Amino acid sequence: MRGKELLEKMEYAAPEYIETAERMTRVRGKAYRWIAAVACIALVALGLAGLRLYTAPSVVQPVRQSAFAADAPAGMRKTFNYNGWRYVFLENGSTYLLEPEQLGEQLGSLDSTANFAAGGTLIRVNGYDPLFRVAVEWEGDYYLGERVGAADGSEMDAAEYISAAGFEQNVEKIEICDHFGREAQDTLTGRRAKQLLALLTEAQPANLTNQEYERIARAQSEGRSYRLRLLLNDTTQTGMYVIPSMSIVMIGDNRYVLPEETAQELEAMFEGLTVQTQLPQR
Amino acid sequence: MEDAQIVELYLKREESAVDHTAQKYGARLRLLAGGIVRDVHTAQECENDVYLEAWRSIPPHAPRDYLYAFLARITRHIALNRCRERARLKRSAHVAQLSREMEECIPAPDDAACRLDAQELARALNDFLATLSKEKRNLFLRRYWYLDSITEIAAHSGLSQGNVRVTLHRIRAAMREYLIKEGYEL
Repeated sequence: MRGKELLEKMEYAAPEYIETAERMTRVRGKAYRWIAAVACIALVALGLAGLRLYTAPSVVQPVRQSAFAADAPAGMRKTFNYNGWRYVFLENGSTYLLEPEQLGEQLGSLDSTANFAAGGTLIRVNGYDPLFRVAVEWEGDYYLGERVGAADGSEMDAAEYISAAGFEQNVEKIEICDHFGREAQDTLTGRRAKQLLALLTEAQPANLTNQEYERIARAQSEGRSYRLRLLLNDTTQTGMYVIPSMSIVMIGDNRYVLPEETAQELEAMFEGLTVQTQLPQR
Repeated sequence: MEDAQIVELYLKREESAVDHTAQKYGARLRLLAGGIVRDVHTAQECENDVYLEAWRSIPPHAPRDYLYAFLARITRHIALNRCRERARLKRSAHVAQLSREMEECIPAPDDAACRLDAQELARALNDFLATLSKEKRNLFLRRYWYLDSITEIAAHSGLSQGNVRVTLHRIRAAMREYLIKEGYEL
């Protein structure tokens, strides 16, 4: 037998070992436990003294998903409201593995506005601003919610959203894909990615007429709509839609329009990309 | 939904079983596949193949108590097959490296087919894993079951990369010694 075969035969490992390994926690020595105990006492003492401690954000590693909150999946979306904002459960309510050290303080619980996991506990995820994503613990499982708009239907400020999401710092690359995100037609990194994000922060809420909504639908069906897949450096991703020919940007549930000057720059970035001739069937 | 309920749906041949599986475990399976094939799109393809394979396999299997492990095993198998396809294109350096490492566990590696049948091999492997501490077992499985990189294991375990390498090296040597001592001939 060669190593390659043995590597494949590792599949015979017992199910309980596999599940335990999936939830591998940090390996600590005995010395660490003492240090941790002393550190805990120190933290409590500091807390009692009224000192505010800063916790460095940790990287959210196990979270990896392919669907964006900006999507409108078939059927009812799973949503909840928090602090006046509407959030959508990522991947329509998939569970995620979140380690204790990735979770921050409890922010409350899901009220009756939630159409899924009502009664679940809202928890801050270290490394995420709650104005971008929060975790929900419900019946022992963790879910992630991503902000998509205001609970009362009013507009969300694009620049504020991009800032809260930390895209300037945490976007590794941006893939410009066809409307369904099946094929990346261009990939922006570094300066080009930052340039695109800077353009998007200029977007202003669009008060669209029925005719303009119809034009958007036509642009989508004619393949002039692109999905931006933002790959974050914590291995997660999110997305938004852009129709360069109409200067329209869609973030979460909101539609934005770019000022004329910015729109020209945006259109130039999308020049040369393939225009689909027909909307692909799902 | 509980695993046992999902498995019952499979047994009743209700297609909603696949939806419930995807909802509960889709992200984790995709993460597992992604860690092996190192490509988001291929991982998504693997995930879809997993659902098809699960549909074919349940019944006769009925993994009410170990559905995730059952699905994860299928995922690993499918993802490794994808890597094998890539190997023909000389693009599976990660798996090739892991194969070289695993060779250190084999008392006398040769090109002959495995002398143990699947059941014996499973027993040998799990008996050895049972001799390890939980921490070491997790490190070993993260490397050779989930095919994580040293960097990923170090990040998850809180150990330095050097420490992870040394520990894995010792576990491989221990596995070799164990197989020799117990008279297993691979």
